Amino acid sequence: MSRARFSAIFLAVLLHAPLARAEVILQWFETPYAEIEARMPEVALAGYSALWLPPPTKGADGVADVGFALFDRFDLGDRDQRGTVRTRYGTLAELQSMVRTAHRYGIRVYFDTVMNHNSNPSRVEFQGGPATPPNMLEYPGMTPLDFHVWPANPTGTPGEYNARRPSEFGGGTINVRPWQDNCPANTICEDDFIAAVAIADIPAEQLPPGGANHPALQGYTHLIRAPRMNFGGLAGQNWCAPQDRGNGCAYELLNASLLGLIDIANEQLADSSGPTSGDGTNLVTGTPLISYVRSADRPETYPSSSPTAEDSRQYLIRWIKWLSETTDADGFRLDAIRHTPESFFGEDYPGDPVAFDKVIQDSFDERRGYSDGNDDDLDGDAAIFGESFTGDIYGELNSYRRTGMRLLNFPLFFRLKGVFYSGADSGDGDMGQLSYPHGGQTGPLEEFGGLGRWDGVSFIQSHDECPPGTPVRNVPNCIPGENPQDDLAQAFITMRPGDSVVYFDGNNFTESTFVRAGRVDALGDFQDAIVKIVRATEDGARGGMFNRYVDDDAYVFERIVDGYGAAALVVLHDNIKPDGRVDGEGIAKFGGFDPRPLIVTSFPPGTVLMDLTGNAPVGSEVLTVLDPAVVSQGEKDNAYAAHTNANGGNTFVPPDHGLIYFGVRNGPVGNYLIYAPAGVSPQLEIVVGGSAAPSENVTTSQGKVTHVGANVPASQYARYQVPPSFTVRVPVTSTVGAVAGLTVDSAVPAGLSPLSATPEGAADGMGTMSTSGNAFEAQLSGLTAGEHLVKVRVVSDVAGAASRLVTLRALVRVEGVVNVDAGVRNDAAVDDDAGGQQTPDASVRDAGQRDAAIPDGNVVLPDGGTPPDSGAPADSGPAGDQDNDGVDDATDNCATEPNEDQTDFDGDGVGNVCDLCPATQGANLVDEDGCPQLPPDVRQELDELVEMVVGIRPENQALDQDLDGDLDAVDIARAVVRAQDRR
Amino acid sequence: MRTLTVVALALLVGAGACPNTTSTPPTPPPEVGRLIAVTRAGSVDVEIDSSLAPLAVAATVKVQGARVAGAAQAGSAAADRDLFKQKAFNEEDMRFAISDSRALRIQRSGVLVSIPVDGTPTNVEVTDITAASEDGSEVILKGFNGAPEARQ
Repeated sequence: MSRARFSAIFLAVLLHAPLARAEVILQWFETPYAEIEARMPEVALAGYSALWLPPPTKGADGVADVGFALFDRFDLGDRDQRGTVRTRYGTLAELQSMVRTAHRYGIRVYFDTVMNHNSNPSRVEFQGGPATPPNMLEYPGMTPLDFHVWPANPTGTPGEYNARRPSEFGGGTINVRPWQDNCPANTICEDDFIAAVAIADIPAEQLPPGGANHPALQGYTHLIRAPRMNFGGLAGQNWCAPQDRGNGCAYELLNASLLGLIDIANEQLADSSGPTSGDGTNLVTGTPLISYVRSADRPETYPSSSPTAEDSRQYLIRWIKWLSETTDADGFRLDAIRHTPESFFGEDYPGDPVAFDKVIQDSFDERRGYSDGNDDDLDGDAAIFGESFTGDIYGELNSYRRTGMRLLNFPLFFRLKGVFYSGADSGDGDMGQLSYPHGGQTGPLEEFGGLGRWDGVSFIQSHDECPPGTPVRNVPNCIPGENPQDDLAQAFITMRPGDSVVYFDGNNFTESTFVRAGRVDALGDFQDAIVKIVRATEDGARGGMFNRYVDDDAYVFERIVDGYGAAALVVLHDNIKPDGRVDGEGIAKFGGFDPRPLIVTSFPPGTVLMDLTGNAPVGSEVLTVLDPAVVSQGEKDNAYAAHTNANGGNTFVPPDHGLIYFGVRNGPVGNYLIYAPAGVSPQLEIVVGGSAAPSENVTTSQGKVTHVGANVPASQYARYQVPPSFTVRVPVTSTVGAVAGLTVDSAVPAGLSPLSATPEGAADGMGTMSTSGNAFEAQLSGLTAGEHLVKVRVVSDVAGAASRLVTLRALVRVEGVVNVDAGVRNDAAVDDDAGGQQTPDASVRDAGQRDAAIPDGNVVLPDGGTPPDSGAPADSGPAGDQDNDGVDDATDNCATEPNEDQTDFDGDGVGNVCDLCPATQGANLVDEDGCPQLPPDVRQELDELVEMVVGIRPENQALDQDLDGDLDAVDIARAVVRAQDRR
Repeated sequence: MRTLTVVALALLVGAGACPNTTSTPPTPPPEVGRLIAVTRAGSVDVEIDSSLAPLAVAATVKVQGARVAGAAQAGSAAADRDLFKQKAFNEEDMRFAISDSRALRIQRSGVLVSIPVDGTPTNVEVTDITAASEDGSEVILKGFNGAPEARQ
């Protein structure tokens, strides 16, 4: 097949997004593009359908900048600025290669997007960064008047100004004293990062007509940055929803700076409640929105390569179109949406010609060759979801939702914080709250205490937030993998309708509270709990959601597809306390007494269900749905009563329902189950010449994993070795009423005709597999050398039986020569695929290499475990290059471990292989292990405390952190946490 | 919903037994694992086996039947942790504490400390253990008292 034809088919399949099937998005931060690209097979095999990556734009802090302190929005790692060409994550070429690889595997890519603020050169985003005022004259492509600035005059006291207060804040003037702690009335004192610029110093072309004589500036000598205001509001005026603006309620963020960054002045509110403006002119202040040629040196960023004058809104519109095309992104997560009025994002706002969301969708349609009349049906649309730390569902979130974006579901996130505490019978610990409002597929915005199921993107943790079980919010990390009920919460949000997020930091832990640590097992490292949930979601999270059992510690619901029947049964149980409510075999009890409840199910009697989580206790792995006729009346009565309770008193039971017994483990591990119909082999068979193709286990790259122990093995996945022609086979119990579709690298392979009109449309567009006895088969031929992803989906719809949908994937490496017997790959035949894309092998270490690089738990390190202070020398080597990696010790960023490439992700001077803290952010000083140094006095206090605990220094009760009268390990731990917070 | 739940429980219980769901005794710190002593050539090693990686551990080790021959060293489970102090009470006992100022946790399994000894210990006690998780809450590691198993 020609490359061109292959690509065209790929696009057609990639863009197919069956309606009402949720995707699980892997939020993947703190990881270079090259590493992400190398692990793309794992992403696909795990069943993720999309990646959410950090802002791709150059940050003010260069390689140390996570990306939210945006510096130049047209620099994606291709301009030498802020001390680096590459961004924190790589070069533009690496970004584009990574996206191409993602698309080849059928993975959509969403970039985080900062559209409403800039930063230069402040590092206020990072702990320990200097509070340097941004220089408002040094923003690439922007001028001071693009930002929320107030005209002002110095009062004579250094740093103090009398500023003209905007009319929406009451007009008149206000005294600004950022240096003052005790704030007098009618004075602003909160902002530590205020910056001023003399109007006389501003180039004429950056001022409105009339320059300093413009009405907005007349009588003033300076511009000052709009002060950062507390979330509590200004002068007693609290944040308010958009519809309340103008009713005595200020909107503090739209006109203010964000944490030392500066909002871009793109407001264009056209209703009567805000700073009403006509196109191009703010009608309150009379100030024209400054318009000029902003990127004269980069004509390629303009449509038709022709630089034209723009105001800040037009500038941002041009940018997001350019960003969409340059990255080929499939969507964006929009940062801090409430710093920008909703009219900026949406269409149909009178007098406002810009629509940020629509530009994204139109670019997506244009790049994919798509004609899409509905940009908000999740079918063939770019993903757009905004961030707002608020639970204001009716006001703020609703108004932004109407612009066409979805919202990160913070209301649900806030609710989940308290739901999974076990043992409680009311209030926050009541998991039964999740059952509200007792069924249905879609609902009003307030549903589940959050957004409507398809209006929100659900998450339980992120780069900003720890998961719900974390007992203390501001710990340096979120205790990855050890938060009680993490898996339970993740299972809930992914199995309910709507899109959801799994947060991963590549296991590149940082010691900062930003970015927070993610799930260590997001890609199957260490354990496969999350991967199993994601796979179960892909196949089972279809259709509506209906309650089957509810109490304070347990919630059982089913997903049901209209017209096809039940798809999955989900069991959640959060009682993990040893309080007598658990039986002797570690089985959780429902209602406090019943370890083996009987519940109503929509799966037809006789359906064989299998647990997809691997958590089912012995006897519950595979279950057969019972006919109610064979169950005693007393048991049925109890089951129906529980069902009525779970549905708000409604006594309705599904027609042709069955009943089912099951058990679930006592938590906190494995206390959830996901059942779906059995009948399809759990894995693909790859056949060469009538025999199973040889495979090798590929050990993944797993980051530094400092916190969970370097002796814990990373995950492995099988990669089959095949010649250009081979067979893919899927055994099933029956092919009656079933079809199977196949793709290779998201395209229909040559020789297979596309399927259509498959049940639920789930396999439409995939290549048709033929039947062979009780199996589906497809002969593949002509595949190019290199790695390919084979994806198969089996769907069935038989009257009277449960519908079935199973998705299977396998990774194959097409080689010229295959040694079938040895099962060892032929390295000589390994090459890139025809498209010249980077294959993972260059970056993925095999098991042998990993063992060499990471000591196991019982190996005493070369220094014999001596504390670092002792300075024990490492193994000797050739003079000047002790690790024999070709880099002289004098310049080697890790002189004791071979690292020829000198990779240093955080740019702290300590190479990754030596760096215990490989993603350090914003630290001016790091120790020999690459971790931020504590102030000497703090470090000394910790040393002394430890000496007191062991008894070689007299106790100082002032260091008794928990006030229990003893100095012990608890005091040490708390002192460490406090020291980190003070750093 | 609360009322409805109670109704359902009553129906499910049938015979009238009512689950006691109101008692909320103080929650003791969770037991997350243990410390054990083993012997290797020339040393007594205290090993950790825990479901949670603690941020700080302190314990006292009493060695009987052999003489503590020198300063203990942090083992693989605590390698590179920068807060490690010890006190040898006498030739049989030592007390240690391990943590890390950078909040790097101790590994869940492996050798915590290795104590050089002359002779073959007949009994080892690991007592007075305190441990804390990364959020500063106390967790329980069980102690050890017995003849240590010999390992390679």
